[in-house]
Amino acid sequence: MTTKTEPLTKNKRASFFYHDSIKATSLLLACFLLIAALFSIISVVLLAEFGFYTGTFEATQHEVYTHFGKTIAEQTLREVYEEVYDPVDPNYSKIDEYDQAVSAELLHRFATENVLLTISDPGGRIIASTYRGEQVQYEGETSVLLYSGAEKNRVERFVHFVIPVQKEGSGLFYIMDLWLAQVYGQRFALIGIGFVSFVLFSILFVLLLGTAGRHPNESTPRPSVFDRMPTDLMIALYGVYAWLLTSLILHVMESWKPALIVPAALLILIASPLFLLFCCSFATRCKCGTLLKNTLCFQLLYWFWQAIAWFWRHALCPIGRTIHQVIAGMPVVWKTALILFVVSFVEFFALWFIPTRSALLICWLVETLIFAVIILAMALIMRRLQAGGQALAKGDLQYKIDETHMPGDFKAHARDLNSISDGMSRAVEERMKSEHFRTELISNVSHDIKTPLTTIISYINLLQQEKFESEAAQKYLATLDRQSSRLKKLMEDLLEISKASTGNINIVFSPCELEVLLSQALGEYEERMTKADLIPVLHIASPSPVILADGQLLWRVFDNLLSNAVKYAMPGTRVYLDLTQENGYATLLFRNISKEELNVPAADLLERFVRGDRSRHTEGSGLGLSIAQSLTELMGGELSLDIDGDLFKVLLRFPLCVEK
Amino acid sequence: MNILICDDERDIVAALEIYLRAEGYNTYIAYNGRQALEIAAQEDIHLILLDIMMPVMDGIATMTELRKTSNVPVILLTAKSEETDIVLGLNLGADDYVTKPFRPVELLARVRSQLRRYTQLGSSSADEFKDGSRLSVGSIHLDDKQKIVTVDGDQITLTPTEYEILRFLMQHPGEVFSPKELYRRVWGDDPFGAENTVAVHIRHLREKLEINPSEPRWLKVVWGQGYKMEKSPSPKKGVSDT
Repeated sequence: MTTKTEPLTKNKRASFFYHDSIKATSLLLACFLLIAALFSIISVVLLAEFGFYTGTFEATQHEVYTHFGKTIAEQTLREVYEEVYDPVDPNYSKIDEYDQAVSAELLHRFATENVLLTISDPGGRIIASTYRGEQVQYEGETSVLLYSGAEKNRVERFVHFVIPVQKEGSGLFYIMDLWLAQVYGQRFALIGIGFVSFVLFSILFVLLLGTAGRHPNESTPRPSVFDRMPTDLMIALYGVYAWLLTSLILHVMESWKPALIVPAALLILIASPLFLLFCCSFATRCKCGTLLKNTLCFQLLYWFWQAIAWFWRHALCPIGRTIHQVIAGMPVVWKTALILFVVSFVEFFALWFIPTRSALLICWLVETLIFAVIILAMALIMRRLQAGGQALAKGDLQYKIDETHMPGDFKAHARDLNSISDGMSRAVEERMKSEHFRTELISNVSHDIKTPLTTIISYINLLQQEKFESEAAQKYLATLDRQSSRLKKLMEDLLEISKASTGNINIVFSPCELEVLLSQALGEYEERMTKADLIPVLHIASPSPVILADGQLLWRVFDNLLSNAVKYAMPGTRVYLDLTQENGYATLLFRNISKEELNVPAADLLERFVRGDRSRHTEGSGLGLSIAQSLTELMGGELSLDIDGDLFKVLLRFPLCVEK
Repeated sequence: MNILICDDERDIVAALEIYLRAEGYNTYIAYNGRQALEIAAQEDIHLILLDIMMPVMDGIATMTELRKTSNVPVILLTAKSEETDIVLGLNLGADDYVTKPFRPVELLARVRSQLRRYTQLGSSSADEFKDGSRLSVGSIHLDDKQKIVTVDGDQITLTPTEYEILRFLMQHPGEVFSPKELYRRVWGDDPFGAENTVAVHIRHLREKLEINPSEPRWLKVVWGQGYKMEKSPSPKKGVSDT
């Protein structure tokens, strides 16, 4: 039932731990606990080794005595012999001399009151002894191998040690007895302390890791100043610290120097907070995703990569491109010669380092010369073929490749190219012939149709003058009159489109001011526009664009467009004409709202005989737009249509006249 | 008035005969160029309607032959596809042309115009005033003193603006004026976008002056540049702009 509120309380509880004071307190606490846990655990391990947990107090005491007695006895023996030992004699060959020296004096110098020693050789002969019949508390035996050579040269000394009964209040083993009793009594408590502090430390450690990088009232983790230090730098600093610490400890353990105790103690003291801080920082870096990114190595690599990329982009690429352009722009013969030269040079260079070069060089020279001649000859032929191919691509069908002095394959290729041009020019010729034939046909047919049509129109006119009584006859005549007019218009359009689409029109180019032409055209259409209830709206950019065109043909284009608008535009709407110029082109945007639904794609409207309504009940031939397009293209312009719902758009585009 | 109709299409000839007779003209008929030349030599013909495409002897050859002896007005009947023929015909001395299929009304108007010019020529040119108050271009005459404009002798009524435009253009025949310039010269004012009215006035003028306003003979539209009055006073050199 607390599912809803849980995240909130959890958040609150969590943000309580995000406060810096809480974090600092838990860090300190964790430090102490860590030290306590480590201390306890190490102690427990040491105690267990001495049998604190397995035997009685006496047995434990015995064990401790044995350990320390043995250690002191062995150490003393070694020190004694080292004092008398001759460095020139590593294998203790003068062992008898050393034994004497030891027995005479040296043992007394090193002997302590805490442990009494009796040194003997492997034969059982006593060399020296500090034992004077004291009361024995504990005694034991051990041996020291002074020289561990081959079996017969081995030098071994035995030592018997005695720990005398302790005098009240002094002596090493008296203090040790007291301490042993104390520790033995607390030995289980120590386990408890170790366990509890370890558990508590673990909890605090997890808490510290969890809250690392978090701050109250912030949803995302944020690194502190310390966390912003590059990770590898941090690790390196910690490495330096660890090295200092271990070397100091080793130093202290090796030779007891009181001056080093204070720094060593300090280093050990800060070891645990530093360790915890390291863990926290590591956790924060992981959370922020900056563990790897925020490293000097990564930064260096990144800069290096950036530098390479920059170099690639700004130096190598342009150079490469320039070289490529230069080579690509070279004629084929020069290109071949260049490659030949480079290859020969490399070969020559390589040959130069071969010892017996003179004979080889001559061979190479001959070979290179022969190859160079052959390859350059092939490049020359190639150039001829290339020129032929380019001429063909440009549409120059008269071009013939010179086949003389061409070897087999090249000759065949040249012949193929020539026959392609032959075939193509034949095809073009045929096509032109058929185009011409078509135009001729249409013009002849239209002439043949025109003559009877003239007769029909004339006689309809005559009939109309006859003044028929019958109303029906009048109506029929009117229909005949209308339809014959339409037929006439259709004929004219058909002829015009046939001429325009085959380019069979005489074009006289002269500078045309589009603004003037537009106002002239609108003047011509003023009455018809008014009748169709259309309002022309003109927007003309200044300066008014001037193009090079045939004014008469351009008028035919405008005539068709405006007549289209008058026929098909919705009455009561505006016809927009926007004249602009930019980038060396003059554009005229022509827009009107269609009366009928335009259910034909824009591209289809440019097809011949297609009308927007498809029903063909309107007047007109359906050729108007097609004629306008053909004429526009003949004059080097472009005409495109666009239909946007009922909005009908025509865009005319002409290159501007360069000189006015 | 005697009119010679020459066309190989008998139905057209018949129709034209009816029209012309109804207008009170006397008609002669020929079905090819040779016949036409024969009739023209024998009779007192005032005007010839000549088809271009005919058997035996075509219109162009007939024209060439005819002009050697006579300057009788000739109107060519053509199908529009023979553009070059029209130009050739007009250059050889035809006075006008009508493209097939034509409207009889238009043809009659052209016939009337040519006959008037033919009969009035000489008499009208003599009494032109030297001071320029009387201007004429082709069949259009403008008397600036009486403010009268006649086309083929018929007086036409013009609005004051139309009259001013016509007078200005007739004073500068052959010159092209942009709508702006025309407005400035006729209205004596800067147009400020009003030059569109010029185009409308010109259209109206053409409707009054020209037989076929869409293909004017005198008051021409130079598309994309302006308007001009055709310079040539002789209709025999008039060349279509199509």
